[in-house]
Amino acid sequence: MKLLSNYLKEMKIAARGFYFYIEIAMAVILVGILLLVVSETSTSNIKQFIYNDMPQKIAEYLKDKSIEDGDARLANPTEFELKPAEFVITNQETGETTAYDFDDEKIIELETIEMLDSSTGERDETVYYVETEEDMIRLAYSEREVGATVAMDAHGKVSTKYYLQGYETDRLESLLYISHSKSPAVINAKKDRQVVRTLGVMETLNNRENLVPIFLVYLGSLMGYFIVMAYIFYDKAEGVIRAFAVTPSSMWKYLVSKIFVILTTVVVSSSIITIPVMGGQPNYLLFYIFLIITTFALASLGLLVASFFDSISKAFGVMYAIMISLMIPAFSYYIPSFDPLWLRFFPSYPLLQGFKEILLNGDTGYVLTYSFVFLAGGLVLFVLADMRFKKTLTV
Amino acid sequence: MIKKIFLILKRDFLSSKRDAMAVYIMVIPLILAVGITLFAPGLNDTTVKLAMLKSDDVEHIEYMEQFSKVELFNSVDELERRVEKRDDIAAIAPTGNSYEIILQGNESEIVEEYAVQLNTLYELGSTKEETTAQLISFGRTVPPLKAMLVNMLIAMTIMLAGMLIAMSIVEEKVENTINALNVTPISQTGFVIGKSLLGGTVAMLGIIGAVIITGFYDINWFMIVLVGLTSMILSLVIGFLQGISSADVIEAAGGVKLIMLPLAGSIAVYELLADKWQWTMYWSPFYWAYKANNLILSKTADWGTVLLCTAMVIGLSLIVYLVSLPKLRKGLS
Amino acid sequence: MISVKNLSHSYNEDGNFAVKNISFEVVNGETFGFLGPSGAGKSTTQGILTGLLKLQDGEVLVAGYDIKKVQNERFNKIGVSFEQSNVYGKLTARENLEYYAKLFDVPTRDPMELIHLVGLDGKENVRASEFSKGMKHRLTFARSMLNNPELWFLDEPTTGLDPAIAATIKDIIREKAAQGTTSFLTTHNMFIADELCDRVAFIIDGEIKLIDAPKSLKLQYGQKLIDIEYIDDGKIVKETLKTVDELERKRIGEIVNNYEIQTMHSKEATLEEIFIQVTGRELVYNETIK
Repeated sequence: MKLLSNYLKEMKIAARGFYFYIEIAMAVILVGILLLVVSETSTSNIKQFIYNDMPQKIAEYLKDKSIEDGDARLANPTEFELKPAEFVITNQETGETTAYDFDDEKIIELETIEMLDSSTGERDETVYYVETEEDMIRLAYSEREVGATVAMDAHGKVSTKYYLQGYETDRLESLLYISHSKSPAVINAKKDRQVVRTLGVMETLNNRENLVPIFLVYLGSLMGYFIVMAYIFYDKAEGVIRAFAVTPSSMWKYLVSKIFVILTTVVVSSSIITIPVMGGQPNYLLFYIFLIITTFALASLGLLVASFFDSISKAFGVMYAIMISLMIPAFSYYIPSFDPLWLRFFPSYPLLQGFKEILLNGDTGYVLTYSFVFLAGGLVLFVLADMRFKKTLTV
Repeated sequence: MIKKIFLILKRDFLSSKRDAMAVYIMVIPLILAVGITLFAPGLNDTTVKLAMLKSDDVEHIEYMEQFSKVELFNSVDELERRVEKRDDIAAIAPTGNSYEIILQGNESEIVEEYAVQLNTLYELGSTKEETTAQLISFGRTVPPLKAMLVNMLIAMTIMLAGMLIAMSIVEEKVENTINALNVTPISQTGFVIGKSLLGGTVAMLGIIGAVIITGFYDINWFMIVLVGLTSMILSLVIGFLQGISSADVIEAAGGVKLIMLPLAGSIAVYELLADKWQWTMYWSPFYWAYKANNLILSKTADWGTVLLCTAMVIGLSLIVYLVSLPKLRKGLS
Repeated sequence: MISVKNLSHSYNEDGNFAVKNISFEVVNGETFGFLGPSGAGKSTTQGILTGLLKLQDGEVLVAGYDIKKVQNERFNKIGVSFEQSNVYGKLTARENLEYYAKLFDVPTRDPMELIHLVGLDGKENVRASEFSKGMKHRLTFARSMLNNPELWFLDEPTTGLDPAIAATIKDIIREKAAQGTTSFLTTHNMFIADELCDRVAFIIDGEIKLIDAPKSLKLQYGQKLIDIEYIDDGKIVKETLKTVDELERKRIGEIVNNYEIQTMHSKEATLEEIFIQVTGRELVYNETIK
């Protein structure tokens, strides 16, 4: 009963503040953005500037063939502004350097072709055909995109000169070299005979759905960590913790009621974000179990941190450092090749992966394992927070 | 008035020194800058991972190592177990006279394409010596991802400075010291400037430090300082609005969360959406600040664009300030 | 009701004690005052008795409970009125009391009755954040009575309040005393202590200098005085004369008989004067008396 009284009191206070409504409003805005602005398929922004150093008819033929084969589509011409620029280019093989110095400014209109992804039919890359090699080099430099001169000699042999920015890795450069060691026809023929075996038919999250775990973790559970601290410091400023301490009610009930408010807020806001986007696809029982347990764990962490400080400004450094460190695994989420072992020890890593698995109806074992880990960790943190609060009440 | 402004700055400085908040706001960007410097090469190296058998041809393994990160395993079972882990990795295993590429099924397309391409080239015996490609370099060494991270760091520092001001104002309100200041000769404008100086100064130092640490020595420093100063105006306006309209620290936290939406939206639109959608964020001063910093860090900025972005930041911040002026005055009195 | 033996407390556990080896007892039904200037150790002592501070050294029994053992049920018998109001700003007066009442395991008083008792009628549905300082204090005071405490801790119950409200608070304290409530009152206001307390303890620099009833202290340490203002040669002259001294008694008679009296007040020694005398600040005391 005391726990219920505490919880109802906390909800009343939360409902009379703005924060609760900001959370809900934020969730509504985000789901609106997801549904209305973010498309289900990701469209690539890769650009390439090409100068065809070959007879025009052949260049046209090659373009038309790509379009006919369905590998590309013609888009509206695009205007680019060329500004004065000065730079030096280096041939990676010979070391030869060439200096360029352009004083003029001009606007040019380029023929634009969108290369299409073979499986989705969506734009994979945008290719701009430039009339002169100098303009192509200028554009590659100013737009910081790949430029290429595709030349065909009298025997019909094609060679390509790539203009790269300079920060590309050795591996990528090596790949470019060997990708041009055989003719495209030979390479494609061999490619078609490659055997690919998948271990299962795995669902993947589409471009829009892929954002949901990020929102759930960083605007849900992680905010719970931050906001529970704000609630505690607010109560410390009001002095009501001391009033509570001289009642028969235990400190842990006070702390739990705070967490329950956070949980209520997070469950509501997370539902607003997830259900419209994912529909009936995920296992919602598992979803809410994982959400509640992980929010509890992070909120307990927030309680423990708050117990060491008197005010939010004093706690700011530690609070902020923990928040930033919890954000780092987001890189791994978006750049799968960046996946060092040490990153997996950040709590937000299994959070992101766990939500992803739930939304995909994937590895339940992984989700349950980490639910247990977070529950155990959360309980330990909670007990420590309870001990700290009892110890650090001052007159 | 100048003396009184500096008095407020001094009080805020002393208070912040004891709370160490200003120190954190200055130091944390520097620490993150070190992190970016250390991790950017790893982030930039976006080549695919491959799993292969130890018993495979040494030549095959060495060939693949030129183009990807290779992990070696003892059996096909181990390969399959490795592929089933949640990161994106493809396995290449010998089958008779050929090879098969093993995937879990949920990898991004580029993983499959890369593995197929590499194995194809290996089977064709493609070598660098036979290539018809030449590579020409513009000599740039800073990857765009690193510049983006530094730019995001700058945006975050600006927002933090605003948060510092907001918290400081909320603190003055809770302790009721605003009323104490209202019965002194310092004007409201003087109070605003005095309060803003600490947050602005601290953030500026943090930004300059972060830019230096991440190796962007040879940018146009006049431009970045100009954009930094105008961004300070933005963070001051935000900080004051948040501080004045928040009765307590929880509301201030909620306000900060709301501000993150246009900030994150500006970055997302600039980085991810096509040119034709950029106009959707023209109303956000964060967008213009981010754009200007991006151009400066990538050394493609010209004064015309920088001044335009600066004008937009100042103009939009001023509009917000003027619209909220009655509320600001009411909150300060 | 309260038994304290050899209580010591050091905040930093570095040998600097806020409270040094104090011992005292408070019997049932007594109103016991803990008097001293700021920093004397009053709040520290009260913090330990109420469980807000952990007991470091000594033996303390409060309402029959050994405070070394964590027994939250003892709070059913205790009420605490804090010096700094600490109510929920976002809740109304009634909601504050209703919520707090639910934290106890014993029957509690009707919140509306308490609101009426402290003179907050009509404000029960107003959020506490909109209350004045005095109103918040009254609400905090009312809250401390919810569980009909047997032992009542009052920390500066009237400090900063206007005389009318202070009078109301004092009346309530007296009434509770008459009903048998034991009160532990900490204050630096000697007048309040004098009015309300059965016994007082003087504490300074963490040590108790003496414990006795105010009346006994005045009898023992006080001097009966009369302040007279009279007109002599067109000027107002003020004299303070002891009634116990024969010569000065004659002087009183002389003034009454020969001069036009402006004002005349009998003056008992105040607890403050006694405190100054007892705690060893004699120089300061003598100067003020002179």
